[in-house]
Amino acid sequence: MRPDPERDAIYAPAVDDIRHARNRIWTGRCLVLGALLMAMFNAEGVVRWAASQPPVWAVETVRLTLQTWEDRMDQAGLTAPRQLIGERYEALKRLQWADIEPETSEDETRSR
Amino acid sequence: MLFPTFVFAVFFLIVFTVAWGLERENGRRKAFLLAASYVFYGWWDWRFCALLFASSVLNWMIGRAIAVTPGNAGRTAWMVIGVIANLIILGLFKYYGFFLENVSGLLSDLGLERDYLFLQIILPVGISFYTFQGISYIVDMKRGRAPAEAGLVDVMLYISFFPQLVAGPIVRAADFLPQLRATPRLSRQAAALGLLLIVWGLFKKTVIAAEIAEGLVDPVFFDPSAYGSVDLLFATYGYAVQIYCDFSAYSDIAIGCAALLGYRFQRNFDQPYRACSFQEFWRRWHISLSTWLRDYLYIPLGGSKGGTFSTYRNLFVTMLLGGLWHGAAWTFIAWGALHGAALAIERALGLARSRRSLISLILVFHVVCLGWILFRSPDFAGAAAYLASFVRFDQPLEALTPFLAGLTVLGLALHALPSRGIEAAARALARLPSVATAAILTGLFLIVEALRPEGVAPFIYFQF
Repeated sequence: MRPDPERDAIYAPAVDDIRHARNRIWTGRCLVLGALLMAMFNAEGVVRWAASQPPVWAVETVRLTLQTWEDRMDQAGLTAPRQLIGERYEALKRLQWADIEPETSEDETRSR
Repeated sequence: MLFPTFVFAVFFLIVFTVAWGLERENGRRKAFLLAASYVFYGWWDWRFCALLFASSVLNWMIGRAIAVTPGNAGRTAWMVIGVIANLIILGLFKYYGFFLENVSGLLSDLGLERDYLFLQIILPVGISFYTFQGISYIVDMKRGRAPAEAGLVDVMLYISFFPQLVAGPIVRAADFLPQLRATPRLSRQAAALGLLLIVWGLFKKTVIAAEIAEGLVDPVFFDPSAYGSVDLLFATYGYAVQIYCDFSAYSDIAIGCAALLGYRFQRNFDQPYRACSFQEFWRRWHISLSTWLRDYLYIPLGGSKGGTFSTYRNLFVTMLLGGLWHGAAWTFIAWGALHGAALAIERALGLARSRRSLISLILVFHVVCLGWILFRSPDFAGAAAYLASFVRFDQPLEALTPFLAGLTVLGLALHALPSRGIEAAARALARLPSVATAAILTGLFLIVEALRPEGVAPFIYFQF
């Protein structure tokens, strides 16, 4: 492997089994906690995925369960941050050049 | 199975859990990772798995033959057979139709029309990548760099390991096979780097590349005659940003997934549009391909040892074949020729060693962009129509919005970030407790999720 001091240091393996086990548990916790937090704050994303699948019995069961879950999270206000970011971003996307051109003041118009 | 999907997220969580659950049994762990890789690959079309399996077994058998053959001549003969076999597989699936189409066209022009056997061959996803890995294994075995004792499962896992299987980085046998000798010990910093690379890759692919492709690049390249010069210019810059964000995102996610499973892949991109020479550009763009071409094509052709003419010829041939590797079309060959010519001219004028300057950076970037027009256009007529439309200054803006202009500038501005910023962030993240790390990463992931459009197109390099 080509030498890369920055990454060589990062990839240096754990010196013993105990540290390796600690690192593995740390990584596993990050993934599990991340998945749980995503399920709470991003329930809509999973519902959207289920809605895009063919409507067979199993997928429909998952979709309805997730829909209920999303409603609960919505009631708790946990989906609000995602919605807020999404709305602002959509507004930014709709922006046209005419919207950001500086408006001509009345004085300028009169002088012309 | 695409990386930025819910299905892949579930798949990866299962693979991560089971792989580390089997950490005390390295053999079973490798067998499990191999099976998972075939599930990942078969998700597109299970029939592709047969070719992958056949290619892996063939390479392993030739590798064994090289290992047990005593004389250098015999080993070389096996290596040549192996390389040719890999090239036949690649040629049949990727270039057969292109070759026949051109030959029949040429013979028809000469009045020698014949009936040809045109076959509708489906291009298996990632065939160019795993064929090159197969060649790397065989040549490294011959050179004595790959471990001779590697078993069938190791070689199969090396060729089909799911993070890099369909769009690279092209991993070397000499780099990966030694990592399979024992279950890897996980470093917390590597895990943090892996997690960060996955989120960073998702941002580049689903937010920047997907939006620019859908809103700007695809419509303008579809019908360039309907747009004016500013739209065309920004669509060109947009494509430069799109292909960088798309491909480097795949590499980042692949490197990240491998890191979480305890394996290391090389960096594949290093802010390529910062390059002030073409030589530097190829040291920063698709590094695993450019180094592969250097080690397995340019140097065996003679490299720079045979005098001025042969150096330029080798450089040009290498880039020409590098272009052809990307796809069976004349536009890709022309793209390779453009880069080959640029590298040769730069070397002849001694510009590669000259001082870095803003002018050279701008010049290199715009020649690279010219190459991207060839790369993105369906044919030469399309590229010519695109270039001809550049002079339409009176056309009002049609495709370019402030948002898309901003996103293009953002994509280019990523090159102004500290070159090793992600490594520094990973080191900082690794010092935090898991709860804090998970909260930070989820926050970043949530932002990406909120910004991404619905349904994301496959990665550009899947077609190669």
